[in-house]
Amino acid sequence: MKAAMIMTGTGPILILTSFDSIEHPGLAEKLETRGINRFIAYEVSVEKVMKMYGMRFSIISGDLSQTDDLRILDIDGHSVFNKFSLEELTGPVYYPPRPVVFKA
Amino acid sequence: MKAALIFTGSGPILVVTTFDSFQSPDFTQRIAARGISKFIAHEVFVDVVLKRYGARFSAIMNDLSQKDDLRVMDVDGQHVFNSFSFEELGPPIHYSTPQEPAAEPVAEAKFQGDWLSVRIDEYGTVVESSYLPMVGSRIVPSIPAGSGDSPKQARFRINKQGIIFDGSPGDLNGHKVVLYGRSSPAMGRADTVVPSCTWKLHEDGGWTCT
Repeated sequence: MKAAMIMTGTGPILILTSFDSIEHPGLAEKLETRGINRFIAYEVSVEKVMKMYGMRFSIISGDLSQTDDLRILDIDGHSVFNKFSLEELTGPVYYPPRPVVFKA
Repeated sequence: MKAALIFTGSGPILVVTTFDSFQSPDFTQRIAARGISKFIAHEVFVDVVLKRYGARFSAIMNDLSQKDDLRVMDVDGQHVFNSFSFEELGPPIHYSTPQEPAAEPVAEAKFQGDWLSVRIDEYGTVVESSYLPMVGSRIVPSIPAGSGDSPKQARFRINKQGIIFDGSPGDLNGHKVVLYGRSSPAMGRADTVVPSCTWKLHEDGGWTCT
């Protein structure tokens, strides 16, 4: 299971996913079905999320399928942004991806 | 002159500044004055901003003093976010106010009382309790009061994990008490029950008795 802060135009949301990487294209597809077709993702520690959200985490992670699934844990941008220090964020991952530039 | 998308808890804003760094104290003080003490900034080229915002950019530019200053150009997060492609964004610059206290865990506080007397409605919500902050809390899985209209009376103790033991009626045992943040000073205490402990989530895991 992975957890990520997804930065969108209306603020960050916090998600849980059973994809093995937040760079997995399937994750972006799942987010697109929820109206998020452009985002900057930062991975955060699942353990930290579990501690922060307690029972809410247990309920939502219990709904998560074993593979290729996504659940939104928190849509309150301020709540999400303030729960994690910036040092705890791993990333960013851009979607759509930034083009790779090769330098000679 | 610099421009940047500043990501906050409510989405990105676009700012233009004459400060030479988004982490300089002058800049962070100015932006803190607008209520932003933590942000992720991505610099964008000023000429790209000029192209996207046209006359609006010129108006803001004219407003800008010749010395150090900061202007917020766009606060419509969705618009800001969609106005720039990711390849136009510079690398992320993280900033949070150094003295900002660590975020408090928001997980449910738990306490272990000697004995608690509560009334539970048909949804498992505590509607009356000998420990006032418990009112509004829940017992999960829910404990239906039954077909009658009157809420269920209960008496129990909870352990460190917030699990009911010594419950009366006995079918409460093993259920979890989810105590929501009702411990504001205004609520106060309405009883003489002195909890043995208030259990708070510890940063390193487990629970701390305070």
